[in-house]
Amino acid sequence: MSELTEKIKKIFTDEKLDILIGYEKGSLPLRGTPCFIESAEDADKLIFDSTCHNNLAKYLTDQKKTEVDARKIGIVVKGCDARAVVQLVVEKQFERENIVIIGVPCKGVIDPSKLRAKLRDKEISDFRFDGNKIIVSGENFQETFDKNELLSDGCLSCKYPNAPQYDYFIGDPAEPIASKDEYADIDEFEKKPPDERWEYFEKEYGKCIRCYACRNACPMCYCEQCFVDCSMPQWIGKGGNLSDKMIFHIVRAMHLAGRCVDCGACAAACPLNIDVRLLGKRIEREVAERFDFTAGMDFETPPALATFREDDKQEFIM
Amino acid sequence: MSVYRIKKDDLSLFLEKLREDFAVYAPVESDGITSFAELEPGQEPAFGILKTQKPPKEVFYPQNEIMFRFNEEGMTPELYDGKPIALFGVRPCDAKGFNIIERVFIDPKYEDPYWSARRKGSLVFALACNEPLLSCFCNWFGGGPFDKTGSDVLVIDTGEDYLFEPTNEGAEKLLSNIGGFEKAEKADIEKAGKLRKKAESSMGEPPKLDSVKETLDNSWNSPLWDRISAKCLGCAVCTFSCPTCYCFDIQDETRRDKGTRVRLWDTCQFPLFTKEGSGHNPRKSQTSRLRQRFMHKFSYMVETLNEFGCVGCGRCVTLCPVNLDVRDFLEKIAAEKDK
Repeated sequence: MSELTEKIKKIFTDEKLDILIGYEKGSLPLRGTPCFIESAEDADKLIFDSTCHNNLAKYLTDQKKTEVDARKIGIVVKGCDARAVVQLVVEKQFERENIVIIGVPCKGVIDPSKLRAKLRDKEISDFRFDGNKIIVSGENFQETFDKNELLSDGCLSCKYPNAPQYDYFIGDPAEPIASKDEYADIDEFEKKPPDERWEYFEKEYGKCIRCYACRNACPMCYCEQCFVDCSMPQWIGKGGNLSDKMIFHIVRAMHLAGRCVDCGACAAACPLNIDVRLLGKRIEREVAERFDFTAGMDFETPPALATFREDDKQEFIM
Repeated sequence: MSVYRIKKDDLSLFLEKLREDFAVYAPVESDGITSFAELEPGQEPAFGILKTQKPPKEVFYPQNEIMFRFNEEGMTPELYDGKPIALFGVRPCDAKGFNIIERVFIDPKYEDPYWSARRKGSLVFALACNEPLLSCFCNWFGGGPFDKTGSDVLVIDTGEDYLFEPTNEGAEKLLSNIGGFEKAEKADIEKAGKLRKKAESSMGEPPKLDSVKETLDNSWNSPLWDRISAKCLGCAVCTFSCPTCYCFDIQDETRRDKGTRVRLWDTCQFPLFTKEGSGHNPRKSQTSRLRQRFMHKFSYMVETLNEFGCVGCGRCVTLCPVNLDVRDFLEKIAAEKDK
């Protein structure tokens, strides 16, 4: 029995949890998958490693949506997941005392869409971690990747690999990877002329098939009815029109201003490897610079866009 | 039907000739996405790809299709009138999928003109899978890596050559008209047989699914649905990537005094799919929506088409953001009977 399962069993019993949301081994190599534990004995199947990319905070609002209850829910969280849980509490989506936050040290997670792009159609049957390398093998091939090549973009510049708020923490806190400046990609992108930037967004969002996996994987997208799902009135067209696709992505990015925790769940969920992170990251920086706010760090600070301070920067107001 | 052989190097010549009378679609990789697209002159297909991210169903049944245009003066119908379509290099699972979808769009009473305009006169060249992937499970539903269902020609990669095995006289005639083939020799056929055996045995024994429909029909209120759907995000990745999902919505897209009526893919996984004009939604929960998807494929389609509505391509397995694996579900259902 691992330290993780042993401690979680104890927490499950001590805290009288009704349900615990964690990860188990998935059906494909390098894929962890969310699981819902209903008893302490069931905890044996829990895992946590770099294959556990999903943001489980998403399921807390799901649970709340389907039934109003006071069930006690435990949740295993990486740094970004924990920040999402905190932000959701700040946004009053559920009661803090009904949630037991169990932090685990995160060394970065593998983005399935990057893995898919690297491997193309080669399927791996086995893998192992060797320091900063990931060695994958399958029928007639073996390949070694630098871990950074496969990690989610957010992980590469992540400053918070451990939960900033938690009830329990299992293991030794992880060091941030920080192999890359957080806003390096944005700086690079902003140097381009407007035409080129527009072209990039057209190309990326043009690929969108509106499966809404990005929205549905996002813990902060919990609106009871998303504006794209409204039929009376219908706000945007549902066809292949580029401007409709763009409106969806732009509005989603705006709705996440000061709320996004950069967990990368949206990018990992996209079946077509669309760069859905760039716009959100740009807005995150805007909020950080203007309002000195980072989402999901503590339960007390009110959300950036729900407050007004006299010293808020406002030079952008004409 | 005879089997024909062509050197791999000569395939591009064959495709060039095929392009004279057909719009030739093949797997391509463009901007990081693998899908089926019309080949440009001289463009090399990406045959190494087994599972394109986007399914080839979109060639016959595009995600967004204009049905007609309208303005103050009236309507102008729009229907595909390009060259007949030849799909080269689809995999046997996808080829079988066309047959299943077709029974929805062309049934004894009704024929869908939009599907038919692209599908009629088309040719499907399926490329046999010498090395099925871990996420492939075509053999669960009577398919196989060398299965010919839904194909006009089965193409087998034997290393230096391709073998072409037509399944009907029309296709055989077309091959002889285009030319450039030799008759396959006994050694070629034996080689193909070995490849087939190897591919088939690599997939392992499929579970017995005979009882699945009956078990499902008796499980409408089972707590199993809650457990299975708990991690489902309710996105459309599985349905949009599925070779046999066909549901669509119809929308008018207008701008000032003109517009188009568009048919577009819809999905039972979205709440809006069943939301009624009154505001009531009979499938309010994701549990009920996931149940619909699985019941449709593994019970209702068995009832209406006498076969499962799944061809085991495994796209939903590899692309699902939370790794909700339909095989786990089927194995659980199949095991229910033994309880």
